Amino acid sequence: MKISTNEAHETQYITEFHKFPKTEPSWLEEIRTQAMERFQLLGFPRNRRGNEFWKYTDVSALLTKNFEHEPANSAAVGSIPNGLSVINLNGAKGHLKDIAKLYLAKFAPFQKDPFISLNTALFQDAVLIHAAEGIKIKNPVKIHLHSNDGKVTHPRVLVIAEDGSKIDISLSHYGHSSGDYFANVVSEVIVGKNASVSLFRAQREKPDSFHIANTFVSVSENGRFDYFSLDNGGGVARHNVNISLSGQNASCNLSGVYVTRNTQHVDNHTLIHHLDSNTTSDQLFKGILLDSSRAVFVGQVEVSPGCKKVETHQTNKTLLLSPSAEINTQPVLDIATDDIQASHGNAVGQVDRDSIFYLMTRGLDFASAQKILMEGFLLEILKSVQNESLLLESTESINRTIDEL
Amino acid sequence: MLEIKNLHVSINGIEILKGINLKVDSGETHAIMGPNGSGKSTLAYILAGKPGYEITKGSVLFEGSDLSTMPVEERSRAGIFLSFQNPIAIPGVRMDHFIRAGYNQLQKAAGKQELDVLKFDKLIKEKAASLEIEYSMTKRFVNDGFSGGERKKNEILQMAVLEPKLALLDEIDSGLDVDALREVSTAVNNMRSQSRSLILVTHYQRLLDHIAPDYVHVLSEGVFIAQGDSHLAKEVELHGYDWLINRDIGFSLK
Ligand SMILES: Nc1ncnc2c1ncn2[C@@H]1O[C@H](COP(=O)(O)OP(=O)(O)OP(=O)(O)O)[C@@H](O)[C@H]1O
Ligand SMILES: [Mg+2]
Repeated sequence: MKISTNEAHETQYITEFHKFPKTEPSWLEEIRTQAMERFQLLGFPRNRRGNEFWKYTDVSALLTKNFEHEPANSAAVGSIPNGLSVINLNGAKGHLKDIAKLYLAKFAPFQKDPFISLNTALFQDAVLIHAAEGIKIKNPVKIHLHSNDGKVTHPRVLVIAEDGSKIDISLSHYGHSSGDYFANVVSEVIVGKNASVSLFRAQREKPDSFHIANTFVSVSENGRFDYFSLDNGGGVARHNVNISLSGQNASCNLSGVYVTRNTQHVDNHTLIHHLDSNTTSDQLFKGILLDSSRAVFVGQVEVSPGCKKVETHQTNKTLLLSPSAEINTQPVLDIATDDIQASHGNAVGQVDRDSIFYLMTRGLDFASAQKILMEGFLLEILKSVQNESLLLESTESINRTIDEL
Repeated sequence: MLEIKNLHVSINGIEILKGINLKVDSGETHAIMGPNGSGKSTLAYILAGKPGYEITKGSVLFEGSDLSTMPVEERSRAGIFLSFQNPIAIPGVRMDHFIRAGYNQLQKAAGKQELDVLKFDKLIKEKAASLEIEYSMTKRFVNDGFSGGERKKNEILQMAVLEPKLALLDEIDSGLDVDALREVSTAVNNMRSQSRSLILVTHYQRLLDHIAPDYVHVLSEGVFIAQGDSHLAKEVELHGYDWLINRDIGFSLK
């Protein structure tokens, strides 16, 4: 079977795979081998044509790059209270080792996606975050993931929130040097019964970088998952968020902000599976596009047959500040039940003239008035952030993003 | 302070103001009345510098400088304040946040001390208290979910913070209940001084019972058809505008 016209390119990753030291437990080695085989077969997406999933985002430039493999550069910041573990997967011992084996690569399907298969085959220094049953963690766990010039990294994060636990996590992606590099991130998040996880993701990669991220989340009965993302960087950035609401009353709230400039391309794809009754999903994505940058938002919702009292809402709003900026936005609803409350809407526009005038009559110049309005526009997405430290961090993050414009 | 001569203003090529003459000196309070659509808000907007409003003839001088070429924010920094007839809501933008930014711009333009968040907070707290406005309202998004009356009070609070030389109050009384009208009027009266002029746009005598104007002007179809003192407002209240429009000779200002 010949899939690609340029198999030589994928070869560098395969070579890297064979250089791996064979010191890992056999279950992991087995997964990696399968994943590598899948990657060889799938290859990187080459054509946008006929490829619905990559219709709006061109990653073919990846094929022209030869990045050098590097283990993920991750660092956890802050203190770790009792009941919480934040460790390198290699260092997992005792029951954590069993937990890792139970959950790793079970939610992010390496069989289907070349980036996930590549990450699964090659990740090093994965971060394992585990909150024990009933433990409620007050301070957010902060993980920094950074990349270096000319390198490819495969950061991997596995979060397990046992039943009744509560945890807030912040992931920061950024680059150290201004050259090009490739960050290929995969996160898996397991939210137990009555558990609650909020994940704040800040993507501030360098302007020439490739950032591909896959986040797979499974939410059990009465569980809740909150997600906030900020895209303010990357040359080509693609993020897939895939959530399975797999028990009664499971809910998720997804909010995202993207601010792009120059020729940046940021693509957010969400897919929410409502697999049980009384499940709720809310999505609000907002963006500001400058220069000739592009953004994509595709919000897909699938509701399984027989589910009752399902609620799903999504909104996407974009300000286009330049005539050559472009947004592709699209809801995709696949609903196999009648017992549902659903809404979706998107709006594309400019900063409101009357609001600018109002602020200017109070002494603000045009640029400051516009900035204040853009800030206000974006800050709406934080309305459901409950963790104070996370709210502060994300507010500052948005303010900084606008200030830098 | 303000001198308007033979002012003609068009919106989208349609002439709305057709030869306005008005002189406002320091410390004076002028009331402008007139039927719906006569051009009262247009006059307020042209003074504040709203885009889309074109001066086709005549001149407007504020403290000797030509307003027609002055950017909106410069007018504000020079001391002109507009209280909007329909203040808009701006979700996501906190009132205390943006008004501090404006305040500091005005201070900077006047060569005065800018205030940090804490000091400004103290200032706005005092102003809110003096206007009997809930301090918490200053922490909310601008007019977001505010009632009509609250929005008007909010405008007056901003005026109190910015301390303009010339305040244009476009129907500050509409939507206010009796108590709110009294509060707002008291607040405005407290701000009257030798160096501050007011232009009140209103439909009702009851506002002028609280804030006594020095002069009253009646606008109809883009021109003043009568100018006089507070008695003119009472005549309007009694007889309506038709009576004035159908009359041969207008009241004349001295
Ligand atoms: N953008 C616009 N395009 C066209 N005509 C306009 C525009 N804005 C205002 N006008 C017209 O200008 C005229 C004057 O309007 P203006 O708002 O100044 O009246 P007003 O005296 O303030 O009325 P009111 O008492 O109802 O507030 C009206 O006929 C109005 O329809
Ligand atoms: Mg009006």
